[in-house]
Amino acid sequence: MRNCIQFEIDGQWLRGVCHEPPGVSGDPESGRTGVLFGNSGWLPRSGRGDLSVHLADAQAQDGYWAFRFDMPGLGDSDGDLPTESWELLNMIQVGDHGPFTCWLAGELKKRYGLEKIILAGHCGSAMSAVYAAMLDNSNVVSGLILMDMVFEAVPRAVLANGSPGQPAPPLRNFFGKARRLAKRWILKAPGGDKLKTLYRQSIRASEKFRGLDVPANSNTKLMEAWRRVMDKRLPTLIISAHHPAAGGKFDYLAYLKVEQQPGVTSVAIEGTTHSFLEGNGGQAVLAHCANWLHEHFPARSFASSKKS
Amino acid sequence: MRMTHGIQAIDARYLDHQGDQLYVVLHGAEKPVAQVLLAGPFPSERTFSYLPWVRWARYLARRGFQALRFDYRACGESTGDFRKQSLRGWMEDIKACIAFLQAQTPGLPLVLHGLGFGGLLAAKLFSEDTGDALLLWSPPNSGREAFRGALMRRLAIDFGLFKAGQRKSWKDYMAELEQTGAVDVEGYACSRDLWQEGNQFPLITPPASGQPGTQSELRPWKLVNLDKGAEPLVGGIGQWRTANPEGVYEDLRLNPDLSPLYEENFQWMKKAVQTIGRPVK
Repeated sequence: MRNCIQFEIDGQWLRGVCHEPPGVSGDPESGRTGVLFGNSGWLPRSGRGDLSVHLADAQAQDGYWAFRFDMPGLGDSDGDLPTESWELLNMIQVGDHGPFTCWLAGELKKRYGLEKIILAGHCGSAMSAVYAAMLDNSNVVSGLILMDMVFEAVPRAVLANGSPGQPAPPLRNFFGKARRLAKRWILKAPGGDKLKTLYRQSIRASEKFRGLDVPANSNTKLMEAWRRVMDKRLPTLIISAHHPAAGGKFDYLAYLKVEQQPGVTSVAIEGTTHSFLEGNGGQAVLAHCANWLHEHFPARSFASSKKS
Repeated sequence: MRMTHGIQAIDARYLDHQGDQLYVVLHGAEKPVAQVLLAGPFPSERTFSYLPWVRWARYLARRGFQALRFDYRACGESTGDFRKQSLRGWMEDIKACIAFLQAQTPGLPLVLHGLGFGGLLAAKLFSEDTGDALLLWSPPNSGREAFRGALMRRLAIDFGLFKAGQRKSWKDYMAELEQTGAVDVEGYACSRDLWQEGNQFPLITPPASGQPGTQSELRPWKLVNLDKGAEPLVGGIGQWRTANPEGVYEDLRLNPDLSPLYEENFQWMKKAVQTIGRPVK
């Protein structure tokens, strides 16, 4: 059973959907854990291939309250959006959606009488979940499900080109454009895995030479938020997509030592991509989420059905 | 779930429909002069055209055209099993939406408006005497073309993501359709029945608008082939960029100014509504 829900914040309406566990209407004893999903990047709250819908449906079937919301300006929610995609991505990467996510979690907990709420997200909403958990001073958030969270930021060159200011000298502009075109060609070339790996390794080598611990375009703000959230020791599930063409990419999860953090479960799904659409990635995500939820937050209706 | 935002009332809700829940969003106008039913694109393209589609609905509502958009069953916010869907079933969804829309403000002229695949269904309904005017944005020539187009775009993404030997070919997808009875297109399992139904589902357009002695003399219609300027609305653009996050930063316009397109089509709708029931000059 799905229901439309909405909240007003700062004069704008955020719209979403509640997936109600079956048979819980009027039963205060069942289904007291909720899961909140946001938007994957700029996509509507259903996600690509409706992945978030399938996850929420499955979780509701297992006795959890699942909620999916559109952030301001996205999907059905009110609000303005920038013209360019990188402007929105930059906003998400620096945490603009974190306060909304945190506020929504608190409101849902109150409205539905939830004992616990877990923030779940893919890509951009995974970042927002981390920022929300960092901002959460009232212990509203009980856990995190982070799907293929990206630690790279919008490249500085893109931010610089899009912002007003002094235009670059013509020669620098020419080389900058040539470099960007070459990069785009390499990264988009069909199947050129070895070339991509080589490109990334050479870039990384030059960064190391310059004394950089992490790639130059790392989202250091998100990394700092992540460290602060880890201090809270929240149960966290990290799901990554392992795609063959990702060779040579910097391993942020290893750098942040996520597997050594208490309460963190990190799993990788092979042969799929960022969207989890390929290689049965969606089914694998569903299974990992279900197992992790049952282990860390057994829903009452699920627990009782297991006993019987 | 009704609230006001400026002069607009936005009402998102579920309609109980043949055992499923149909998600509809009504963009209400203060003093509506007409109603528009917005039939969206093929499910695999919905996520990419969603933002300009919502903005178009808001644009219409602000100008006195009450607009209703919805998700087909088993797609987006609506419930259902995608494998069990049919084109006829999705036409039933549109009819349920029209009934809901007309119950809000009975008696107002109704414009059917379809984007891509939605145009195919809207045109079919229009040919069955539903609606007073029809606006089509880049409709495919048939259901077959719609499905093939969606699968071709999937193939293009596969081509960029996987090496030869690792990626599926057209033959592989067709074999999957034969063996399992469905083919996965961007997370949507299109059944063999749906595919076959598409083969026998041509785009039906009325005779040229205004042709004397025809029904279109009284029921105006228009077909617009969107160009790259309408980027997020055009099928497939954006899919590749989303599939390849490393490539998105510099070349995907998220929220471009489509007001010239909106205004031109709104003006046509306005004129069409004024001429309904009268011979078009």
